Amino acid sequence: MDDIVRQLTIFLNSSLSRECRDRVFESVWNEYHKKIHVFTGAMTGVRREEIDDMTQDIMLKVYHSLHRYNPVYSFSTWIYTIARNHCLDRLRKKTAPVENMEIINNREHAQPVILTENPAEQVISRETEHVIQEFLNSLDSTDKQISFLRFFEKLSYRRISRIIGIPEGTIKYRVYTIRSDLSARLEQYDEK
Amino acid sequence: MMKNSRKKPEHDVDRYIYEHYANEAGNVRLRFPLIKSPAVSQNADFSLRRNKIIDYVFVSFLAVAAMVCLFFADSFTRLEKAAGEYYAYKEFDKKIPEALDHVKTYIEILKRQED
Repeated sequence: MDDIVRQLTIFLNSSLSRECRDRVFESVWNEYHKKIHVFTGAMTGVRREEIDDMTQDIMLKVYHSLHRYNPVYSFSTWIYTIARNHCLDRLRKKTAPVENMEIINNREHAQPVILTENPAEQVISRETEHVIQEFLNSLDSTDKQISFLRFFEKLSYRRISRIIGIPEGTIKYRVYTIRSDLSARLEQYDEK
Repeated sequence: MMKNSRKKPEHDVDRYIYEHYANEAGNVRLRFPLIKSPAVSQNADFSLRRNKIIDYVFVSFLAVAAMVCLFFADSFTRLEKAAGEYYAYKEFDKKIPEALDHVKTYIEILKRQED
């Protein structure tokens, strides 16, 4: 991460050559393309192929905008803002039918990677994963973005607020709500 | 009380969500990229070139605009000078008959003195 910013600073101070840009972009790609893919998916909820295309478009935009990055600010804030704006543009332009929950749940690639060794624990993990997936799918777009940026990217409330354009206090409240709602959902599942 | 004790701790919930997204990210299979492929590279090159061309055109336009401004400024200065001279001559023309009258009067006075 720091490496990317360092490379970008060198790139911005250099002659902006193509080779240099490609090298920096390679690092950015390796670090971010999967994250941007998940973020785009969470934000738009469209078909996987479309998310693939959008991710490529976003990364292409990032490639073309590398010279405009200001190292004073955080790189993740910058890249997620680009991704978010791109998704918003796309959603505005195209009123694509949002995938229904069933299709999302049955994505061919959405096989969860099980982290436990024990088969019994695996079943629990699979079912827990299913509950979590259902819960996250039921969130609105903003909450999905918040949950991704907070729980996965572990960004500060301030950065999330800058990316999404919502006051910090609201973000904190929403994170709290997401936590307690999921906790309650898992509790219900345990009781069954 | 019992219910609360069974509630999932916060860090568990955070971990679950993290793992969910980590799984999703792990399932992403995107080919590296388009940027490296000739078509997009050409696009990127073209975009950079286009930006440079736009810069050149803009700078040329500024230069031409500056030259035109200088030309007009020079023309106006000359025009103003010419107009000034014209009015000065006009004023001078107006004063000639008056001067001639003075000369005539002077000549008459001289003649009388001679007589």
